[in-house]
Amino acid sequence: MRKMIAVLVGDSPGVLARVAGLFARRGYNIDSLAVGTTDRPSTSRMTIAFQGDETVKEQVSKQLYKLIDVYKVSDLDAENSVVRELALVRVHCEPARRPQVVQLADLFRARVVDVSRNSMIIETSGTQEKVEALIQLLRDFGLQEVVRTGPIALERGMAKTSAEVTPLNKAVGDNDLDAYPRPVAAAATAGGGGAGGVSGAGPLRRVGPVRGLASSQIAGVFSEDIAVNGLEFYEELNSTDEEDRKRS
Amino acid sequence: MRVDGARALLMSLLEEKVEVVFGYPGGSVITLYDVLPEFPIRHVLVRHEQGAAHAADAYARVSGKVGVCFATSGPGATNLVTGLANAMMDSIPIIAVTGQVAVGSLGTDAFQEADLTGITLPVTKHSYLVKKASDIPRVVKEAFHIAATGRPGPVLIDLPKDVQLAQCEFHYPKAVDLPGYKPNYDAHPQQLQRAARAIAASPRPVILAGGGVIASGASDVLTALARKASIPVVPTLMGLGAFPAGDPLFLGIAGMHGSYVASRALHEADLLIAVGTRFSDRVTGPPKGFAPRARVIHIDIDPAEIGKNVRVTLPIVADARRALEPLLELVPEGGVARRPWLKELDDWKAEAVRLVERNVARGRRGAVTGTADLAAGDRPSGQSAFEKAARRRTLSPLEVMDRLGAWTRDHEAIVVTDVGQHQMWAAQRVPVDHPRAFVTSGGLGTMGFGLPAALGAKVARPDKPVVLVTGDGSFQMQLQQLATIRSENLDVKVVIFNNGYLGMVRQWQDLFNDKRYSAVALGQWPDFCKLGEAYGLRAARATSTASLKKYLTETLECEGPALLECMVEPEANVFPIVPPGQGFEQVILS
Repeated sequence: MRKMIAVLVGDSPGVLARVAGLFARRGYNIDSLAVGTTDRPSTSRMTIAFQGDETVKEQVSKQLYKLIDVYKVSDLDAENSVVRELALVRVHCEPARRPQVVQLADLFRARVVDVSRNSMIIETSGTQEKVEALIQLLRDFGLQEVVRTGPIALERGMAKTSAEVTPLNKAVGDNDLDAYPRPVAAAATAGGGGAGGVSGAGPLRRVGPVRGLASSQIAGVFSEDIAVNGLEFYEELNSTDEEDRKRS
Repeated sequence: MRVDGARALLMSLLEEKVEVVFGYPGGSVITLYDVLPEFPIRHVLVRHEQGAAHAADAYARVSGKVGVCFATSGPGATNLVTGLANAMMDSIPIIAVTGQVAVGSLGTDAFQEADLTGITLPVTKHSYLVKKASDIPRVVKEAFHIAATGRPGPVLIDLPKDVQLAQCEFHYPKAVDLPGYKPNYDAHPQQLQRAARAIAASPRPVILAGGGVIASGASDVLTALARKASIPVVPTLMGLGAFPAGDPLFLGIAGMHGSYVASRALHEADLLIAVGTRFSDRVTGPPKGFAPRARVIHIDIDPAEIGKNVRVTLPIVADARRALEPLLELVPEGGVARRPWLKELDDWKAEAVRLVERNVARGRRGAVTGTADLAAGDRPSGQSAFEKAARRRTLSPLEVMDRLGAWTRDHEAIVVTDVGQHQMWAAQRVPVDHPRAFVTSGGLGTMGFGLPAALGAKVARPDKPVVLVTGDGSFQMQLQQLATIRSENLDVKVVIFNNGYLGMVRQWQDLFNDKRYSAVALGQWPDFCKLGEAYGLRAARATSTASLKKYLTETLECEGPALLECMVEPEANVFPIVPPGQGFEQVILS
């Protein structure tokens, strides 16, 4: 059974080795581990997914708490947290089939971030199931390479203690947002491009198309914070995309 | 005040009231040793770094202070690893300061470079690689705080050569700022109320006292609690001394080699009050069969120990002393309600004696007298007194232990053990009435711990007699520390139980592998008396009850370090023994 926890750690040298070493030594299996900085100075947040039951999770948390560099361990059970994963997929694509790939990406609110003669890179973020499903469908075109961040997650606000599980392929809707107070803008990220900075940021709202941008470029970015920051942020995203293209 | 890193470290140690350091110099701590004589800190030069860690460990166990050891980079530091692991397993506060190659050379596989913070990650409570001299005071302050508070443990400070030379401003911080380290000391009042109610309602309670009772200085409170509520006490190996062995409520140690009555009490109890113990597998056997009828109150400062090995009914995360003090107030007098339970325990004590006698009468097992199975080429060539003695090992180890225990009790001595059969005999038979008076390697079971530990204990308590109980196997793992003892003129008495075997392993092979002895015969060499004399110790050999009586007192009561080699039955086994992996029902009594 898969469990997820968030571990807030001090940014001291070797802290990753301490955490990973603890899992190894006590015989727990890590499925994925994503680390990124937080809004607090010299504090990082790790999102760790691992196999085990409640007892294992309890032991893992308690043992982690014993590490001096670990400040906080929180439980990210599926019910009460928002879980997202970012993936970049380079798919084989003859020019003639480009529209099909773009269409598929659109369906998933994924973005095309790089195009070359015989391949495209699709960027997607969402629940693991969504990412999984998109990758499955892209398989038909011929996958060249896939990179995934592994899930990162954030506990929902305290107003409600349980929430509906987001159905497969369905983006979190507006109604979700109404149920929760405005999130603290603690962007726990695993890096991974412009969208990475927002993919873990609390209750989510889908942002409508913004002038001058193709829907495929903004879909998949749902944060309310982006709506607040407005165009500036999108321009930043856009330039990143251009840089990506130049590089390739 | 501007100083170099080496002085900053030593000044920090002074701030922490460090009086003694056990260590061994080398290339990357040469600066540290260069300035060491300027400071009022005693340095004990050990003959192997592992001994430095064990000595610091025992110093901490006996004094209740933090032990400190130094070693150089690379091999010096890796030699400390066993000692760190030993201290980690038994939750002993020590600080290890190791040299490291210069910061610029880190990661280049430089001469005597080893990634010590990496190597010691799982065997330290915390570790530091100091890259700036200005960090030294803060790091030392934090290291002592982490080592000594909460659940104690070893902390490593890895100090590169150039950091020792670099100049820095010395300010010793008054407080530590560790947002991720907040041990919980005080027990939840409601949990204590519940515990008191459970104790009051229990007709058959037992206290299981672990090393945490001693670490938190709670022995007197625990003793008062047990006596007030008439609850029998079973210590773990690490808990020996937490409750006076002379008290009628004392049942003897728990576990694999636990006394019959202690094991039976745990098996039949309806309430187990476990204090400062982690339910080691050597105590519980298979956890499912452990204390099957008991609800468990578990008091421990480490929340990770609650429910780790044994299911717990009532967890209390707290310092043992701070939990037991209020509990003592809340718990009602045991009085007549406990009498049937205590009577039952007395019956079982008598039953154990009866069972053993029956076994001996049937000729089953029992002590075996004979000659050690000497390895080929190891047979005595001449007929010297030593060689005769080596072939005639007839002393009963139990007799030696009982006589030794009587002396150590009369003289309030500190008893230090190594690891093996002698350790278990000592734990079973040497009466330990005071905390911090029995020093043994519990969790890690480190052969070779004894001799350096004995010297560390003597440095901590020069006013007390220190007696090392060791075996011919364990002793040879750190025997070079005889030189340390002699040159520091430490009055340590060494009693060697020489049976010519790695006794505990031989016993397992005897009992569980159909007596197929494999790689356990140590043979007759060396002549431990000559060895002792070579290191300048008084030495004697006991081969019979008569010579034992004579030499034991002589050895223990002479001036200066001395050694007594006891030629004990080669194939005597430690009983009772619960076979590994089996429940208490399978106990072998003799």
